[in-house]
Amino acid sequence: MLIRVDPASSIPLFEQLAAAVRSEVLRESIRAGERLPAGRDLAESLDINVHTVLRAYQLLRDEGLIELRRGRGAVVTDRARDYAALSALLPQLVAEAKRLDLSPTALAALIREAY
Amino acid sequence: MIPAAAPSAYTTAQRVRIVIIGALVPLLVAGIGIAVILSWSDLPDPIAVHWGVSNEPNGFGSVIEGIALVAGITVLFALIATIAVVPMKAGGAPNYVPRLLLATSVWLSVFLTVGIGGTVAMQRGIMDATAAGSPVIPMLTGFLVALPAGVLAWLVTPRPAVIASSSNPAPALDLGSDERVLWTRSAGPAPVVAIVVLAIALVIIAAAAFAGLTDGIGLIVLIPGVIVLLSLTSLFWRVRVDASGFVARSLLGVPRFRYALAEIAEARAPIVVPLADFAGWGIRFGSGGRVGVVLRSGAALEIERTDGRVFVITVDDASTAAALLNGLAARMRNLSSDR
Repeated sequence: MLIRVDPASSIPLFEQLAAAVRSEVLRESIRAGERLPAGRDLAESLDINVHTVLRAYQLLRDEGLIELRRGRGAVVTDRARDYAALSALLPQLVAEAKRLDLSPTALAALIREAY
Repeated sequence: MIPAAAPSAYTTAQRVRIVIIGALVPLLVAGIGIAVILSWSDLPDPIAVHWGVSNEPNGFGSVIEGIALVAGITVLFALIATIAVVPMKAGGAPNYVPRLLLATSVWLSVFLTVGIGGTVAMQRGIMDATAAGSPVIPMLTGFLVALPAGVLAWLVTPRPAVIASSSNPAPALDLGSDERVLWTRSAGPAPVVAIVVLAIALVIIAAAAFAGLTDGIGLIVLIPGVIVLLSLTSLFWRVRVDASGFVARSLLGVPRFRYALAEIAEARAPIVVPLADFAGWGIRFGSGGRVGVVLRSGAALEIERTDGRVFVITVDDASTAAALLNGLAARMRNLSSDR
């Protein structure tokens, strides 16, 4: 899986990190049952605070995307499979937004309003 | 499965020569030997086929059994040699690999034909196979006669073509100057392969334990089995790319391959075909100092270091890893040139 976070962005790091993991699940680069890197390793590789990583993991656990177990670390749940349909819709959505010259922020705003 | 982009190691004429040396010559030798044995009508029935430590015959069987042994092993090695060598890709394996395979095929056919044929020949004219003499002289003769044949095969085996690199560099991922990145992936054989290999290892260990206990040798026979089991841990790897560079760690942490970003000249994502590119699976040493962790066929991450040496590991999503490594290296070079 590929994780990219940018401390210069206005979005909090833990949200960026959670979004990166989520999109890797969508990309099927991490599958159900696979383990995410230990919080400390991830923090060291990305040169960010370990609490930031744990906060992102807690967010993903609250979504039901991962399970946090003592000794086993963070494991992707079966819910990852349910993301397949959503993942199939995204390229269409993005292509349509690009055709209309909508920025990612504008598309995100539209989605937020539709909720 | 897309075939490797690398060109073949051999021309058509060379491939024909490989089939002649590795398969036709051994099969011809065995065939002539078998025909000669079959023409002998003055053999005892059964003949001696096995001898004890004091060179007394202690196993008996039909002539067909001896012939089947010669034919079976010759055909098997002829197949292995040609299937492994003919599809080889340029730069895939050092020169000695095809030479060793073809020389072994020829050597074995001569050794078995002369050796086993000799032990049958010395039983001509005797009525009872229990009177058969020692097999040492015929087997030793076979061994010695086969040596020059093997050396000759070694010398006439065509040399595989060599190329510097097997694919183009991956495009560099565009990275922000302060962006933090990590790519990580587990690498291993297909699950079915892993299960089969593990099962075979466990059966071997169980058999060794059983033999050790019943023969009274003790559990010291388990040592090879434990070594096999430990070496199986190098089937499963964790691969990581981040700002510090590249690291591939096997299950136990050893062996491990680690290259700092400053050492890395270029990353590529070739398709690897284990037999053609590395003449096998596992941790392989190819030509020109090319080291490979070859666990399955398909996508692989190839890293060329600044000293020209190349490391390859078969891993999913390798094109992302290669692009990230190239992006990280480019960013580091830009930062240092800005200062």
